[in-house]
Amino acid sequence: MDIAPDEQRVIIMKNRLRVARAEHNISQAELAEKVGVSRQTINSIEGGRYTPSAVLALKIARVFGSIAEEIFILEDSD
Amino acid sequence: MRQHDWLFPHAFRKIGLAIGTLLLVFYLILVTNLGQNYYDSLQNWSNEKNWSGYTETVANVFIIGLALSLILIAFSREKQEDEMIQRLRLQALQWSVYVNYLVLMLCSLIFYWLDFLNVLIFNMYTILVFFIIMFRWTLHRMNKESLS
Repeated sequence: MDIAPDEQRVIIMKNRLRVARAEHNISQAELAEKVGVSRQTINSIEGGRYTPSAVLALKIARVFGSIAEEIFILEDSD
Repeated sequence: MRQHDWLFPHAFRKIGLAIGTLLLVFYLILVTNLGQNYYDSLQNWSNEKNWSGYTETVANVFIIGLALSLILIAFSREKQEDEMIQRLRLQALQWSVYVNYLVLMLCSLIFYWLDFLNVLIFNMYTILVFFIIMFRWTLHRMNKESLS
């Protein structure tokens, strides 16, 4: 996906974190502990209220043994 | 990659609260009749000792103590200080700067001379007070959302 710097559009990041957790049977608290953040942060990421940093996204992906792009999806919308 | 965040350890918030509480008690003692005798006796004592700096010292205790208390409350690490908390902290700080200067601008239209000097004295602390209120409120809202 090409992103022009001057382009006026909102980039949002969707995620399938809740699904991945369910697949691996991991609770929010367990995942939070593994990646070193609070449970509220995991909850906010799942609810789309917070976009994690690249480091946190990579850490989360590592817990599920997958790459970040399998869990976090970059989308652009008007 | 751990970056330094210039925050105090979590336990320092309690120290800030303790200093604030002590100052409040001290202030109440000074402004009520209960404290008048105490204040008079201290002033008599300072007159006897030819020490004229009593009032200035009390003012310094309040100025430094209140600043220290508010800074410790505002900038002590949360139990689990993660990147989202840091973002909320930054947002609350930005919001408090906006509100603080908005209040200052409004007050400049209403108060003049010595009254405005009082506004400026309060304004030294309101930025931290606004920040603490906004940050705590955001954390409270976040906790409520994560429980629902």
